[in-house]
Amino acid sequence: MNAEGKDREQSPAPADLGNYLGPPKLISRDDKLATLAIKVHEGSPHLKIVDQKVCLQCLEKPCTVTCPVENYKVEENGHTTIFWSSCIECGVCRIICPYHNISWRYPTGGFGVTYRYG
Amino acid sequence: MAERFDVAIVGAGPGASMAAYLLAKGGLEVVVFERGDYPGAKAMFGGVLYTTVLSKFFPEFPQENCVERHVVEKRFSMLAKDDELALSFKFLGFEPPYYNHSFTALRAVLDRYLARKAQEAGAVIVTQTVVDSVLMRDGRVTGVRARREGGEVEANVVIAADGANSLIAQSAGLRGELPLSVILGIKEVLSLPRPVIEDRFSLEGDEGAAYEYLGGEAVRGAMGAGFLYTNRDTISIGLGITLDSLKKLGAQPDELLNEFKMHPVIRRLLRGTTPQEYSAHLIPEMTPQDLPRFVGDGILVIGGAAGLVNANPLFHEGTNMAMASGVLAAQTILEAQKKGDYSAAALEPYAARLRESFAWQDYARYQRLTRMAETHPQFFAKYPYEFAAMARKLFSVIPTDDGMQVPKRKLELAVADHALAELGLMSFGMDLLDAAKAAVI
Repeated sequence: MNAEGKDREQSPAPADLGNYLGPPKLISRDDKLATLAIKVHEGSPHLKIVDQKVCLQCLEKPCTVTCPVENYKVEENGHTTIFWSSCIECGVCRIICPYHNISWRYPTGGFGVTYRYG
Repeated sequence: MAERFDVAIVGAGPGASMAAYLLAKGGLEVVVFERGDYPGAKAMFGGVLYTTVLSKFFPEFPQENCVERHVVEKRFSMLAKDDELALSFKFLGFEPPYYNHSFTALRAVLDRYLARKAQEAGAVIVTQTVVDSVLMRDGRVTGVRARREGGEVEANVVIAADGANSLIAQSAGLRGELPLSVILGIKEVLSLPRPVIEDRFSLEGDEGAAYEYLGGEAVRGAMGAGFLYTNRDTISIGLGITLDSLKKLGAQPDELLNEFKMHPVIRRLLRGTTPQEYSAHLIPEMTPQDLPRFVGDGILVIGGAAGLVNANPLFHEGTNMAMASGVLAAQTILEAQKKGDYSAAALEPYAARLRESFAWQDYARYQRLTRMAETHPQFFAKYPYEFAAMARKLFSVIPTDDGMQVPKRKLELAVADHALAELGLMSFGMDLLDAAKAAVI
């Protein structure tokens, strides 16, 4: 390094460290789900809307903004669809629904999400 | 004829495994039901584990690969748009093997480790099995109903250890619905090689860091906090936010986490990381009125199911409290077994012991602070920004036209102005007083 500090700019980062200087990877909802092992119990939804008429009257629809995997969608006809097969079983929708209109239970044993880190 | 055990435990988390271990060692027939493929398969926490209980019963744990790094730095910070104001506490003087009893950990590893200890002591661990409800006869709990053929299992005592959602405590009539004060925790585990983590966070060997971000830009000013913990070769980064404020915010939690990760301050800490796992879980933060009863006839409630957490970002405790409650539950059941009495009255000593323990005392003390915070959203939505703004005003180096510099006196006055006009010195003083009252009284 010379007195003017010129070498500073040029001095390379140690090789193995240099591979880890890029921006963190951001991932979409789908990619987040792709990091998870979810065993789907085909034909056996563990989440159901009890009464679609109740959803039609619900103005806030908090299920659609609070689910951490965005599994609640409102269709054009106003009905609520649950993408239950990508549920990670946190329980937010059960509590957030102002009308207790979501029938919620855990997937049958051995199905659903499996965390490798947790 | 239903199968019969002395004790049936629903859930195989750390509290459950502590109880199962001690009960099995005490000679009781214990069955533990885990709905995942293995204990920890459905579990998630921040997470830093306080290892007081763990080290008492499994003193060899640091050599057995159940935890990640021992924490030597706790850092608290407030994020504004481009600024961060932080306070760090480094404690390098604690001795091995337990250091300051604070270890970063991963639940899929920790829970399996503890369940294996319980199994070695003689407990039966049944995985891939959901328990939907308790069996009741004449108003007392007599066993559990697992969702499988011949799933009725009778037991003298049931321990509800099924975590935040505790459908078991609910099915036994010990609790109503969960309130909106509960917190959603979301997390990503990011991979980064060991030497890079150690270099980036100034760590030697197995040292670890725990960073907490209070309100502010971490959570768009909502009632919540961000966290960043170093594991061996991964980083745990996430947010905790109350359901109530999440609902008001109207933002997708996974988008909030992406925002947090891309904050200019956080982004620099996460360079070169790759997401390995996304997860979400509830943290059962609630008032004493919303807590379940801890005992009923033939049933005890422990850990997250009992609402035992200290979700305050200063401490972020829960798993150790669950383990403590598991120990106390086991002690009480072993005594009840001698008398052959499993009524609520006979199990009541568990609740009494719990209330005498640090778990209840810390919960009770800090949940008051949380209640205070609920009525003082400015601690999350305003003060982090104002403090950062004042720091910016004080530390900005401002040139003048003549090639000189704005004198410090002017900067100090600007800060004082800001404190009066923007922060609101009076109302801030009152809020601090409220916080002190909530913490002390």
